[in-house]
Amino acid sequence: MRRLRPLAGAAALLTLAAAPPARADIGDYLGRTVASVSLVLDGRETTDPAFVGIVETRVGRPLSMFEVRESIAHLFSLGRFEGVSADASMVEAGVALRYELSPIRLVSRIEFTGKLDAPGIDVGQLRRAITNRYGSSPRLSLAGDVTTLVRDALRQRGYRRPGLRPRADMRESGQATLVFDVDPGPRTIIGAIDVLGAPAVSRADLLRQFGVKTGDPYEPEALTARIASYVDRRHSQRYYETQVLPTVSFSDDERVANLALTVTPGPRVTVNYAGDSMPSDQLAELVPIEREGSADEDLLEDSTRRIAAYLRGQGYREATATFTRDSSDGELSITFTVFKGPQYVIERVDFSGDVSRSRAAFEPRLRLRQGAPFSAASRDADKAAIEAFYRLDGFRGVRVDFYDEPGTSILRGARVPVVVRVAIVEGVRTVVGDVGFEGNASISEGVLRACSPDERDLRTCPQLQPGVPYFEPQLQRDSDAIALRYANLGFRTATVAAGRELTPDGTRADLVFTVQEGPRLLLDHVLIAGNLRTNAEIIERELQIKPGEPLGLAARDESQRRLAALGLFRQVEIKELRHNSNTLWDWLITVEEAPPTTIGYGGGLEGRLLVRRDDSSGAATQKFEVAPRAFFEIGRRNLFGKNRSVNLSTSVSLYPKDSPSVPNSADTTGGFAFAEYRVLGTLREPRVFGTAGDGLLTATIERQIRSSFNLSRRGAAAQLARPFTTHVSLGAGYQIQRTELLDVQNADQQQLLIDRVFTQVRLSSLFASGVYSTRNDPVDPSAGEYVSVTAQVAARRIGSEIGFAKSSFTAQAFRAVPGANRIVLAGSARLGLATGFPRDVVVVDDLGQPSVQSVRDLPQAERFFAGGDTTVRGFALDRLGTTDTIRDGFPIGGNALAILNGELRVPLLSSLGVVGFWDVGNVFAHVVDVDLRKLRSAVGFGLRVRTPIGPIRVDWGYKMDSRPGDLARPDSIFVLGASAAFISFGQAF
Amino acid sequence: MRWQAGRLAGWQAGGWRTVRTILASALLLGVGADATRAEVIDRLLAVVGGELIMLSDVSAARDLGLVKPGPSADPIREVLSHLIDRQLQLIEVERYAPREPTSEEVDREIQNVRARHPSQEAFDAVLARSGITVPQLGKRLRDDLRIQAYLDQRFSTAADRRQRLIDEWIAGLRRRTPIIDLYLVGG
Repeated sequence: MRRLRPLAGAAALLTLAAAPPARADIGDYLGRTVASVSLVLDGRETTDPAFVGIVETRVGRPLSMFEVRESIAHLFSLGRFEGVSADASMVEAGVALRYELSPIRLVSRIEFTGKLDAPGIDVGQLRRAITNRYGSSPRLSLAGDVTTLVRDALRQRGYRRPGLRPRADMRESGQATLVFDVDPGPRTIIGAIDVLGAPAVSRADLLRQFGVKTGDPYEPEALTARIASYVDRRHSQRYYETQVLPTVSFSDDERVANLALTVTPGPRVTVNYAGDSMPSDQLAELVPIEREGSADEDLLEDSTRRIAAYLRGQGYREATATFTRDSSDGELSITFTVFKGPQYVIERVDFSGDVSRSRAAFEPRLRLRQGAPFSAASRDADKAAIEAFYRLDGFRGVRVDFYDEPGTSILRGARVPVVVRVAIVEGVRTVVGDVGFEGNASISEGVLRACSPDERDLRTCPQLQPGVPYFEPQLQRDSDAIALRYANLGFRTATVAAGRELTPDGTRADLVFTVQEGPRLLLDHVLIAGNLRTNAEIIERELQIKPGEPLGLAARDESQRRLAALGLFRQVEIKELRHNSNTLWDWLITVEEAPPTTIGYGGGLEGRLLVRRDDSSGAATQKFEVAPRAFFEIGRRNLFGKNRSVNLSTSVSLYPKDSPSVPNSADTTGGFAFAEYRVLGTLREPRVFGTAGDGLLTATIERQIRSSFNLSRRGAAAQLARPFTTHVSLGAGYQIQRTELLDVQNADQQQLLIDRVFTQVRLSSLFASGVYSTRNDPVDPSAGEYVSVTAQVAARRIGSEIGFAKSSFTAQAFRAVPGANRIVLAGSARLGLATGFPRDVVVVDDLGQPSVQSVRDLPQAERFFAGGDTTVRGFALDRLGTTDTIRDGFPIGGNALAILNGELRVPLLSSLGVVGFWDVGNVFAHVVDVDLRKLRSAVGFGLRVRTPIGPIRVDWGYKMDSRPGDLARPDSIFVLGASAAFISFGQAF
Repeated sequence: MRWQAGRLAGWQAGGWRTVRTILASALLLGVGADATRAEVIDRLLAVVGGELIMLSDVSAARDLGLVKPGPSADPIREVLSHLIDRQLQLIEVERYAPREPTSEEVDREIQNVRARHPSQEAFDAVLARSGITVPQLGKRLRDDLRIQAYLDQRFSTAADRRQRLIDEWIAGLRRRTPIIDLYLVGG
């Protein structure tokens, strides 16, 4: 019984196909009132709104075949049905209409049974072949093609006449398991093998290389691959004309395949050069015998032409190249003889006739200049450049002629001086007079004439305006721009013809654009297919036009872009369906949903130079600590079909239990402990509360290792972010967190001062941020800029135990170095400013007398620190500062920060690169203390390894100005106290 | 259907018996019951390059005299094949944009079609039964003129050879273009 419903559907499809279409009585139904409309899917009536909503025939209206046709077209366009038909029957109240829908059956599983243990049959390979060709869920109606594919695959394994019986087991879900019962039959073997021609090696050796021998199974595809491999090997040994032609004849029962292999070994080719020398780095490109694997006459003649053209481009105007072929003893020797002749070098370039325009405007773009080689190619390019310059400025009839004559300079070597004379005849300058339009019934002339400042699609803006220089090619471009504007308003077939009329003296051109608007297309229906989990509202929300509105071209493109940007779909396609209507078209939006769950994980090593207290002396010292680090992320998108997403991101670093970074590090039992971790949960809701902004809720639990303390923090934040343009976004939110400092190295021992260090504090704050980013990649950018501004205010009035204001500014730029292959110059500037709100604290003087003081301190965890792998490399983590921010060797942080970074990123191999960097910066106790003269700098270099999880980097930085206060590393392999090394993930900025 | 029948023949005996039973039931319960009063008034017959061809298209082509089927045992198949070929040609025509017919030429073609019917009422009745409007008919006739212009431009050779070249060209289009043929009786 479980199989009954799908099979009933299949039966309905069969009976539908088999039923002779009745049409004699259609006229009897037309015009009668539609009494009922039902949709039958798989033998059962369905009221799915996705189907019912696109049926045009409505109860109570007269039956119209036009509406029946539209309904069938809409239903089929959903892409979910293999067949759609409409039945009508007379009932008392009129006509009962029924749409029969035959769903597409998908194959969700493919199984093989039978004699699968026959040699050479690999079920996994057969299944992969099907999946590669038809995907993981092919339509059941493609079962015939799938069977052919499997049969062909078996033939490739030597089973020439396989028995293959496919069977579809339907499941209640409507999906099918396609089962192939395999009887491979006898396997064809190789019989006689004839080797024809004159192979260069013995028959036995040749057959060994082809991997064939009598009695082996006949596997044609594998044999072809081995022959191709043999030919490739011969080509790599410079036997470019080697050929092997296999022919096969079968016995009557096809159990034996007799092979005939015709082998043409061809000569071994050597290429020599005679005459004048050629640059060796150009030869492979100019004479591509090796790349093409050929030495035929055409290729050799083309090579001589390329050599001559290359040399003429270098100023050797009389250069020639010839070749000879010399065959002997199985060797083909090809010799190219090159004659360069003298090199013509430009002594000077004289211009004449350039009276209206400054030569300086076009001269820098010219190739022909003093000292450069003179070539016809450069001359022609310069002629075109000068003429284009003038024409763009309205000189329609400009003519530029080049003349060359011998120069008078005496040059060394076989070089001939040339004087180039450029004669310019400017002609008359034409400017645009009137610009008129005809036939524009739907768009006013004012709108067509010029774009408003807020025009979104600048491609629709005509450039030829009254008074501007007339440029002939621009006329057609403006016609296209106007036609595009029409297309964006739904006039898809609008044509625009441009005409111009010149005044007798040619100084003015009056333009007329004649428009044939054609019909205006309107959007009739939006059909959505493939959204199994995504609510249709989410898709409709991104559409730039609604049913009944003009079918603009730009609106379609923008809709498609926005749907793709949702991140919910692997593929999005908007197809326009005409359904025989001239003006009403439908949109069929087909989406392929991305997997709802994403998982990411990875791991590696992290190494940092940290400040630690020496166990014996109690003094601050530096220690390089390496820790295994791992991360795991899991996300679920499109929750409840509403494009909500939830993500959980975790990372953890393991340190030895006796490391100072681990609480209770006196534990000497060995092993590792979670010294540093972070768990971040995020819920994102796009267009929250119907606004244009995205809502973001985050919750964090983390533990961080710092140099003079460790911290444990729990927090939550709610944020509203809104993108204003592609590059600009603003956000604001509220954050609450509780921070606990652990293992504080520099805590004042007096209990009354404990609140100045704030080992435990609750912070409640409001924050706002703005970001401008044109980076081409947020993780590893090679171009673009990034600017961000953030501000945070914590106050007791909103529940904070401490009040402060804090802001930070970041500006970064990334540029490819001109002329260098993928080398990137990156720069970053960061400024952080903060101040605490005044508060009274009790302090104890040297005599033990308590008194009240007003302080503006920040909690230590909220202060700025510098030094480390993302700030100023060359300093241990947090170890950069002034005497006010580092006490007894331990950093206490400050209220101001300034960091400047410059980095040159040089890729070496596909996944390996090196960088050189220069970092400058410092931390200051108060904002008023910021002094650029106190900035400290470090230079260094590093390695970058690209991995699927982002770049892994190793940096070594060296202090430019080591000072006595800088800590030394007793175990340092580098210069004591002057350097620091780091192993970490991602770019430094 | 031919393929499906072939595959069904290969099914295991038990599965085939089940399907046979269900098919018989469907025929008895579904078709038999509806045969007395329900009529298929339209259905999808083919999809050519994404464009639909329905039973009503076949009716319109025949009743409006756009296609004249010969004395075939299956006139629907014959008209449908013609419409499939026409759609294949139209896809090519859209790519090359031949001469656009004038509105006068299209109007003349509409009048020719109208003249094949004894009265305006008869003409209107055919259109209503087929579910197409006069502007849609005009569009079809315009496309026919464009196809003709394309053929004249591309196959400007002697008549005897011309038809053979066109047939070969259409055969190539049939091989290259995805066609879903859902009309299986007599095909």
